[in-house]
Amino acid sequence: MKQRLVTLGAAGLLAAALGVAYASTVGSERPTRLFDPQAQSVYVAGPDGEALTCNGKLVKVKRSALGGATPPLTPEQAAERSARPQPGVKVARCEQGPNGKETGRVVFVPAEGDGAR
Amino acid sequence: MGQVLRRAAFVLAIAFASLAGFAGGAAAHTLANAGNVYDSGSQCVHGYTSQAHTYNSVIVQSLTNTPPYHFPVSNCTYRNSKPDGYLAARWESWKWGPNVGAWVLCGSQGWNYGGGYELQVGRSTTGCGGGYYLVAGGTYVYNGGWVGGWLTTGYEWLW
Repeated sequence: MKQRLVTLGAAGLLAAALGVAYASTVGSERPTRLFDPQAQSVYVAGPDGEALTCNGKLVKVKRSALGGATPPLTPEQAAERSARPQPGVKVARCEQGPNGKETGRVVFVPAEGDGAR
Repeated sequence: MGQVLRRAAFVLAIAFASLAGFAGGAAAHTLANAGNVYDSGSQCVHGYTSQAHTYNSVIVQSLTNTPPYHFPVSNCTYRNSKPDGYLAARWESWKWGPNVGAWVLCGSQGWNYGGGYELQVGRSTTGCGGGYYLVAGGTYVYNGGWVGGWLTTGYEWLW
C-alpha cells in the first residue's frame, strides 16, 4: 500500500513538472497585440513559419497584394472560376532571380504538402 | 531489478497520460465567429469563420428577411439564392510572430466563388509550426456590388 502511494506520488510530481514545462513553452509567446484586419501592410510567414526575410531583411506585403479586402472579380469572371476545383493553400516565399539570388520581392506559391500541418 | 523497471515504466506512463490529457484538451476545440456582416433587409450576408484545430474554414450565406405580411417577422432568415459567381469567401490563417510583435500571414486559399445560398470553403492549415493562431474570414455576396465583411476568430495555441 505504501509502495503504491509512493509510486503514485512520484507519477504526480513528474506530471506536474512536465505540465509546468509545457505551460511555460505555450505561454511564453502569447500575443501582445490584437489582430488588425485594417492593417495596410503585413508580415508573411516563411518556410520556417516565422516572419519571412528576403536578402536578410524582414519583408512586409501590402494587404491589397494578398487578394484584397473584397473579391476582385465580377460575378461573370467568378462564375468561370467557380467551375474549377477549389484552389489550394498558397504561402509566401522569396522571389529568386535568374541568377538564383533573392530579389527581395515576395511571391505566393502553392504550399508543399497542402493540407498537412 | 525487474520490479524497479516495471515501477518506473508505470510512473512514466501515468505522467505522460496526464500530460497528454492536459495538452490535448488545450488544443482540441473549435474557435468560431459567426454573425451577419451585412444587412440591408432585402439582402443579408451571414458569415461563419472557424479554426478547428488544424482545419480552417469560412462559410458565407445569402439570406433575406421574411416576406411581407409574414408572421412572426424575422430578419435575415430566409435563403436568398444567387446565380453562380455571386457568392465569395476567403480565409486567412494568421500566426503570432513574437519576433516581430505582430500577426504573420501563414497561408490562404484566396478568394473562392460559388452560387446558391451558401458557399463553404475550407482546408487544413499549412505548416507554420507551433504558435498562437487565428483565422480571419471574408464573406461577400454580389448585390449590385460586393457586400459583406470579415469575421475573425479568437486565437489559440496550436502545435
